[in-house]
Amino acid sequence: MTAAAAPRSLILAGVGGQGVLLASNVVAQVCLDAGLDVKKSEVHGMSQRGGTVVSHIRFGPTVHSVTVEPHTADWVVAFEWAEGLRCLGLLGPGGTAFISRERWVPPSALDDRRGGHVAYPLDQVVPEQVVPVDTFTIAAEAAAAKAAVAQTVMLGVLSRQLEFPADAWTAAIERWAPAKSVPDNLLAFERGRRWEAPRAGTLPRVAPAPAVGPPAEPPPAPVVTIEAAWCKGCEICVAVCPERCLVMDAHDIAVFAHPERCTGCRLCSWLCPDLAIDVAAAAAAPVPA
Amino acid sequence: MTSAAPAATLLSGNEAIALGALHAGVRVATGYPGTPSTEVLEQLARIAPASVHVDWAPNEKVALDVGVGASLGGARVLVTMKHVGLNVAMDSLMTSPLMGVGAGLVVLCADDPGMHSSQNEQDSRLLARFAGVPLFEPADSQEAYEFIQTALQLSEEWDTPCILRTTTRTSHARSRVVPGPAADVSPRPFVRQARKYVMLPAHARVRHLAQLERLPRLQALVETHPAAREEMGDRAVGVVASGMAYQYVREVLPTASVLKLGITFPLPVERIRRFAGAVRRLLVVEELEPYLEDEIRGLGLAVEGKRWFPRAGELSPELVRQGLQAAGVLEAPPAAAAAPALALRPRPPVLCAGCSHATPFLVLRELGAVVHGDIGCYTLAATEPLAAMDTCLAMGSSIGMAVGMARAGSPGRPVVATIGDSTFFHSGMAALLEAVYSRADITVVILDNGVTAMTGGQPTPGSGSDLRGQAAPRASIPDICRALGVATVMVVDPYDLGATRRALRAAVRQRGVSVVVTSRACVEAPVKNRGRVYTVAAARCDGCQLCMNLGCPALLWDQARTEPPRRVWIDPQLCSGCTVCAQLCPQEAIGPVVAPEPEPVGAAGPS
Repeated sequence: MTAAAAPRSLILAGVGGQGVLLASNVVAQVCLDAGLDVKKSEVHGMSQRGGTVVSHIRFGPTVHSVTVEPHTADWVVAFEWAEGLRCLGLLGPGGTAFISRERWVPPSALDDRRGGHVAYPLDQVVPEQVVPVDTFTIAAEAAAAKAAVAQTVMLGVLSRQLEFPADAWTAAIERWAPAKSVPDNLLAFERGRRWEAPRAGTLPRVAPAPAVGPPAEPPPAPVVTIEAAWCKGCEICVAVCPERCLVMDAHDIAVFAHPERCTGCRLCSWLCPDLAIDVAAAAAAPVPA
Repeated sequence: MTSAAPAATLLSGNEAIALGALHAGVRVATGYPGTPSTEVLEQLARIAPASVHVDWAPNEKVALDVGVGASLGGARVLVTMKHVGLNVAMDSLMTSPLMGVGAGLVVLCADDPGMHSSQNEQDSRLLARFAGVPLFEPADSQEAYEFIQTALQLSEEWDTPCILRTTTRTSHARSRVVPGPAADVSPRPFVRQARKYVMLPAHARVRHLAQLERLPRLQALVETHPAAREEMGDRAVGVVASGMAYQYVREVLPTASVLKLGITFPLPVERIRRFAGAVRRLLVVEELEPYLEDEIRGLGLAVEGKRWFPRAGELSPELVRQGLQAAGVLEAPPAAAAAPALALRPRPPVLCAGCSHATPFLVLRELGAVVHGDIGCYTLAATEPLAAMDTCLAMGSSIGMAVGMARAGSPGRPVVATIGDSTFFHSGMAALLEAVYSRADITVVILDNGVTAMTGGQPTPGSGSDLRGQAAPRASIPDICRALGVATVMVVDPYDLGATRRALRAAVRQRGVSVVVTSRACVEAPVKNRGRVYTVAAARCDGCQLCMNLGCPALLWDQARTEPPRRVWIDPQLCSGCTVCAQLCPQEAIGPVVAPEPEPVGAAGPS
């Protein structure tokens, strides 16, 4: 087996709904039309619901495995920043990752409601192999600046790395994209194909982050006082507390059970019909009862 | 290559099975949706002429019964399901080989090693052996295309149903397929033979002997069948493999000798013996259970398998490589310097923006109910922030489990079952009958969104249309519940938070069985439902984050304010206009985007 006969491997990654499957069908079609053996694989199912989607594509004279081994991919092409970084473990030593700077922050990254920290990769230094691509800026000059087709820019960028002719890509896009979005997709593809990556060494190694915010120090916990004698056990505060800090005790009296989760929103205080709850903004030291 | 060579196309395993079934003259195809099997019938409905019956059945057992009937009636049949669906069809499957077939009958059973979208990862090969049904395992789309045709042909010749077993990878991976010509299959008439087709004990005893007598003949045929092949190379190690495991072996161990099996029940025993004799060390690489390994060991051959390769989860080239390194077949690589890992939060699947399943679970959590869940998109309500599901076992189990828990006693907490419309039709109706009959104090919430949403929006008996989009009788869930004897049946719009609260509160206070049907079309299927986009008035939002408890992916934090408490921002690209967050907001800070817009809604996403 010569090195030339070894299949080459490409990872396409993104978030469910970004069109990863469409893009991977286009790439595989281009390989097939070039007379190569090609296999591609991804997992459908629950990943459609806003989860991660990763497509493995392998092509060459003969291909056996449908999945790519870690540290062997020639290219990683990602439509979303965090999903691109997630796939870097699949990238081989000589490989390149083209990662869109588009960010889809998942709801689960916003669970630090008290501290306001966004658990999403923002400012970290990325390896030399990563080429960030401003998908929307590249597409923006054209009508192609629609979310639905902006990711096709990435296929244009990828097409420069592979030896297939441009019209093979055009034909594959025409075959796989929904008919009404073909012109926009082709435009986005052209923009990506014409895009010049910044010369090595001049790339900003830190992706410019939007003002999503630094991991702030969590503010001191608010002080919530419940006047037990005034509580008649209506449970309104328990039902309404967004952080589910309050519970009813054995005597049907509201208890502030989870002070660590309280954001100090005061909903309980405002809605208590008996004015039994007081929320004080983080006192320097709690007042002894 | 000549110009006359048929063009290669790129097909998923499921698409290849559909094409193969069409080319083999299948006239009846049915099944129940389940990842990773769903696309077979969807593709067949697209490519088959109207004369081919393609439709969904309410569950897998009904599908197989339809299939057996059609087969006896002389039509070639394909029945599709996922691995856990085979359990539902198992009653009919176990007896069907005693009965035999009229025309070819193949059950496609798609296993899900690694549980990408399933509640277990059972190995259906063991069930095929248990039922004594011939088993085909394709390793790529070309084989999927060919094996479905072979299986239908041999089903007729051998007078038995056959199982075509795929895995998630073989079903969903795309690879080259060069199709052949379509067969010309003439229909066979139904032949009345009560001793073969009526499974009275007296008949079944005879038929069981006939089945046992058939197995050695089947095995003799498998010995020479081209579905198996020896790929002889270096004889130091010989590997027996089938399905996707074969591809991984060839990838990782290109020079070894491999016995590639296509039919894995019955096994070509003499070929395995000859192969074992030709190599110095015999290994089996297979996903999930040690099925081939145990069978080969039972032949008295020295064989290694699960000692080196994992029994749980999906195989991969790297796991096969690691196993071969552990076994000393491959040299272990020098320890590589570990790359600095980037701390990345996983991105779990979530309910869609505007999902009609969110409010019932929000209310059930407020009510402190013990909630028995079921199989569907709404199982995602088990995770934060809804976190309102206590159990989930199998299709249709929620209602029976709720009956059981009510029997065991649940002081102070209402017992609730939540079940989707498609799952209710699948296996919830009999359980609801049990709840009524046993006078259990439970509330059943039927989440009716009109489709089987989890698998991509397939129609159900309640949709009013069939797989091909033709009008079909529409089953009414409230009418079914009343007919089963439920006295209190309430129907609410889950987009109306107040009505949903009132209905659920009233329902859990009742004695006996109460049903609340939350009725609202799925926001994504069969058509995308989009209303007016909503927005947050930043000046009014005080950051209480009550709306964030919906888990709606369109609700994010406003970039304009980075210190806590964070204000909420609605992504206009994702908002479906369901209005539920606006109903939740205590500050009335959320309202529709006021038209006309000075500029088009920006495409810049959350950044």
